[in-house]
Amino acid sequence: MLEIRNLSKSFGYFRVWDDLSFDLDAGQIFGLFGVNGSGKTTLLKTIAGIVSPNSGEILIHGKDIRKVPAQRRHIGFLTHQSLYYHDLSCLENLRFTARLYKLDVTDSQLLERLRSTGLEKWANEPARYFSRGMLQRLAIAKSLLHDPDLILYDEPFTGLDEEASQMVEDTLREAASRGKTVLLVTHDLKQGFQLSDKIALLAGRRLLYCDEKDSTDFDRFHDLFRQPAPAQQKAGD
Amino acid sequence: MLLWNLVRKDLLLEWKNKDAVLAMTAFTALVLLLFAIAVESIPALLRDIAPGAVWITYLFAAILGFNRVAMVERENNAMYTLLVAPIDRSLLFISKFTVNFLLISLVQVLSLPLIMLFFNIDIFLMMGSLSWIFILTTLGMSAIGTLFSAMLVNIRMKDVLMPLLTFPLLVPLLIAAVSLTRAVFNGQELQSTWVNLLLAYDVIFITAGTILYEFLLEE
Repeated sequence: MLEIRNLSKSFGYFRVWDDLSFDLDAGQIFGLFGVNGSGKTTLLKTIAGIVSPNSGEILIHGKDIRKVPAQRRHIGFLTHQSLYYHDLSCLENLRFTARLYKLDVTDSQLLERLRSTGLEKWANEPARYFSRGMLQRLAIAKSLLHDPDLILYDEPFTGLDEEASQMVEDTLREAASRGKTVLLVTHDLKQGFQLSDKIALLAGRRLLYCDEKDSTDFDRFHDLFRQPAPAQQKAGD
Repeated sequence: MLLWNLVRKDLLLEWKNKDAVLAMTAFTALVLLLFAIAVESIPALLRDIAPGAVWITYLFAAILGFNRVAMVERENNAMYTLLVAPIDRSLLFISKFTVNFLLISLVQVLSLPLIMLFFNIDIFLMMGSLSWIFILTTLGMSAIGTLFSAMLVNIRMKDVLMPLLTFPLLVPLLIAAVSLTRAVFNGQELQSTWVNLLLAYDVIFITAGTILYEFLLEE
């Protein structure tokens, strides 16, 4: 479903990662881990088309998203920032997103989406008055509105209470059971490990580990995670 | 349809907070008033300085609007919503350019009675020719402003850099606008050289913006 081929990215002299390659199948939850600054968020942004790579290919359903922008239709993206217009209401934010994806949805269908995230009571309130957790719920509703095949979630549990956090887990598991692919970045190693089918560790500009979860156990993966990463190098070294 | 959706979102945001329009209109009214007071004692001079005063005022008012319209997407990183969506990114330029053009045009329309009042010019009798000058100049201003505001939106000193970078490019456009406006105020023929300069600016910067905007947005 998703194929990453020889992907490299530098910001000036700082090389983020080099020659990354991996594949994800439909219905998989892929947990991507790494310490702060290892390039997880940059990788998600690159796959989403927000950051442009220096080289390499990102294929979704076999087509390069850089060459075929319409392929971005298959991506649902969420970061720890909530990506909303704070003067628009919850419903207006969703309505705008729906129109961006040319979805034929009515307001009552959008309200139904808000109901599933527990936000229907605040549908007409400006998002600027929302708490961190409510904004994250809105961001989740927006990211899944067009039923994407590839769900890219960067720290989706940030600011969520236990109930909402469980709702996100259930949503991701349900999406995977319907054949959707999930690429999940989280700092909560235990939660991410439990949720994932396939796990990877990004360190020292490369994937230090990338395999099915069944091939290791949490303690071994935790030990690997805590090992010091190979030193970062400058581009051209 | 998609373009209208993008424009409507920006207009809806502006309708709700009125940040750009209020700032631009208040600034325009105050500066026009100051110009009129400054030369009040020499009534003959009022008509002569009116074209320059009007366009300098619109230029500074437009700069206020450009930054505000660009900032809407940077607050809460809302721009990511647009970048991830399966839309042609040149549409993002055209939508922001359209919004800037509409906001400046609105401020211009609101300021017409003030020009009439402060400079003693019966501007409504000249609207046929003037409206074309206003439209052509504002198209060029909006294209340059939209392009540079996207380039500078993440930079700390954007408020300082915006006029520094755009004014040199806008000067020829404003010279043409002032010359043509003066000709209309004095009941003279419009010189085709200035009209052609306005047209050339519009074509060059709208095309450049449509092509380059995508590269300014990516990180």
